[in-house]
Amino acid sequence: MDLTVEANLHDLITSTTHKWVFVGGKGGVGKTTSSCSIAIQMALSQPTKQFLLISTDPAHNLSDAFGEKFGKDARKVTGMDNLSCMEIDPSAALKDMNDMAVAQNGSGDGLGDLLQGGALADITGSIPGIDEALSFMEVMKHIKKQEEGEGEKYDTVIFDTAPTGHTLRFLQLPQTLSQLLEKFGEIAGRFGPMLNSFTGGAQNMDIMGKLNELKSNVEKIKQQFTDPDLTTFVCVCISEFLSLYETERLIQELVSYDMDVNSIIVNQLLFADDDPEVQSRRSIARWKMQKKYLDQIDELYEDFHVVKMPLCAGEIRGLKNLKMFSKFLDTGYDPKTDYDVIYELEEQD
Amino acid sequence: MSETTESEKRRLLRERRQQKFGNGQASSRLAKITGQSDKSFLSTESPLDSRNSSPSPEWSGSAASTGSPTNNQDSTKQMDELLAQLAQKGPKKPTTAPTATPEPTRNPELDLFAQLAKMQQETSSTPGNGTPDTPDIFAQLMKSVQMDQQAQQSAEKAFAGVGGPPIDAAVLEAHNASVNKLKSYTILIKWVFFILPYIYYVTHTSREIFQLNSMNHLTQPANFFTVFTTFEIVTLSVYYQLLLSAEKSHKINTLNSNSKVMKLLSMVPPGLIPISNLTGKVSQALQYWDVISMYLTDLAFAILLIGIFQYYHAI
Repeated sequence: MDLTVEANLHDLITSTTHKWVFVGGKGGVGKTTSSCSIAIQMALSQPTKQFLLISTDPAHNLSDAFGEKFGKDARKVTGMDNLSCMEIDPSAALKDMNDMAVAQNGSGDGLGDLLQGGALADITGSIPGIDEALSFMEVMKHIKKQEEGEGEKYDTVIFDTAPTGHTLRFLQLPQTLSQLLEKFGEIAGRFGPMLNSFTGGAQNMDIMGKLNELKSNVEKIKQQFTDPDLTTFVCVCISEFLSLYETERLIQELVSYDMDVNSIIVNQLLFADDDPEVQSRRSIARWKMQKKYLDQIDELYEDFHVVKMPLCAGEIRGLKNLKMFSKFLDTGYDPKTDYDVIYELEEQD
Repeated sequence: MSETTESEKRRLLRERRQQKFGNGQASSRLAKITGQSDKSFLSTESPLDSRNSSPSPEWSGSAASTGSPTNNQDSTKQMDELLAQLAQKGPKKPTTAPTATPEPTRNPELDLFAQLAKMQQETSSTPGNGTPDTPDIFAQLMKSVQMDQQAQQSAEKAFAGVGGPPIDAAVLEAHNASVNKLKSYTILIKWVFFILPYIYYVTHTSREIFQLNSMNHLTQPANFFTVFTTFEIVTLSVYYQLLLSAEKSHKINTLNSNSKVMKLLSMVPPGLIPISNLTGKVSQALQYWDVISMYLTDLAFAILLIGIFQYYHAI
């Protein structure tokens, strides 16, 4: 069997099995552009399916990348019928939680009055890791909605993730939560009836039931995230020392979580050898440096889909530019024949 | 290529990729990258290798359940050893996993927390974080639960005296009575035998009552605070020495833990207030407060006497 790996993401773009696609890497390497490009290409190649692009990065860029405003609720990208975007906003989600708590407690009592000022949102908003936890809750909510047949049904969800550290914490959550819930389950089993009586018979909160439901949802996500047919992680990097090092660390962490990772996008390459217009001393020196690390990438990741993407003359913003740029993810970029596109992008802006 | 062949190819490639990260190769991959730079201070210790070298039961279990060849290598080896043992000795039910050799006093409840704390440490050394990572909400929660147990133990220890057996209520009552007695005698001696006569002489209009000049110097109003404070320091030191010896003889340590503040503090979950060794600091502050309050009480008594004696000397 031929085990050569193509230098593009055609397999992923045309994949009919993948439900979750994570796109991540070091800060400033082009994660958002890459995740938008993957989402666009998947949506274009499978027009009958619905795709959702979620930004879990607290510093959202999706709206700027597409040039239109997205919020905490999924909204279709203008000009694409089967691609929606949403930006998880921790502060908005916390405000919702606060309002819900106010509605439940009512005003007039001390707690209700305290919450009126958004105290819950303020307190919880400053907790470290709350962004990842909320993103994870969003995923759980999405799965639940899919199961219950509520709202729009998405076949594949693409995550534009935060820089590496945050993303790893996010991906660790199912494992951590699962263990935590197991312990809570044991404790709640012993004290469940007592806790129920404390929380009030009127509300009749079935703590055990809720814990079990949460646990089964978390288990489901854990299973799905470690199934290579359902989930994959696309690493994005640039051809530089620190970025390469962090990519390798990221891949090793993902392997340790049993997550599938088989694709690497190397962004911002100059391809100065084949571009007559990039012949300055600085560009040539930089390309030489990039080639050094590209050689190492080729050596280290021979079994990965390594996609080498060019540095464009202009910003890759707006659906039109993104569509033009993203096709190289599917076909691969040939510096000899495709370099005109780099300058075409600039003209369109 | 058919769908089956495609998935087979994907599986083979996946296995080949995972093999390249196994057998300690992960660290050498990182070393290869850092070797590109002359002055690199980046760690070449792989998260995979560090986990393989110190496997925890939970991680191994997780890897086994999901079928990762990388993480399964150790468990496969262990399984081989186990099968060889079974072949030699006949059927024998293994009671523990080969990797996990729990200590006799190990608390299974704490295992999970210890492991999670370790995971958290690993996360904090992950790439992308220029500064030490802030622990996430769940890790903090677990840390808090873990610290709660430790705090409970230390609080129990504190209430029972340092490392001592539980105190009998009658012994404690007797001790408290002797401490109260000591306090009463100290106050009585101080007030009746020193403060009262001293204030009398300080406020006396004719201070030439002592034959010795040096004694007259001591009763000068300008020297009142020096004399008073010196006396307080001496008497408080003596009082605390006697108190400590009483505690020693009764084998009870109530200095640190008998106050309501300390009892209330023991109910606060550790980690809630971001101060290290809060109990020790509060205990020390309480001891200082005890000293200051005794000094202030004496001072208040002295001021009261000054007023009374000045009125007395005036009439």
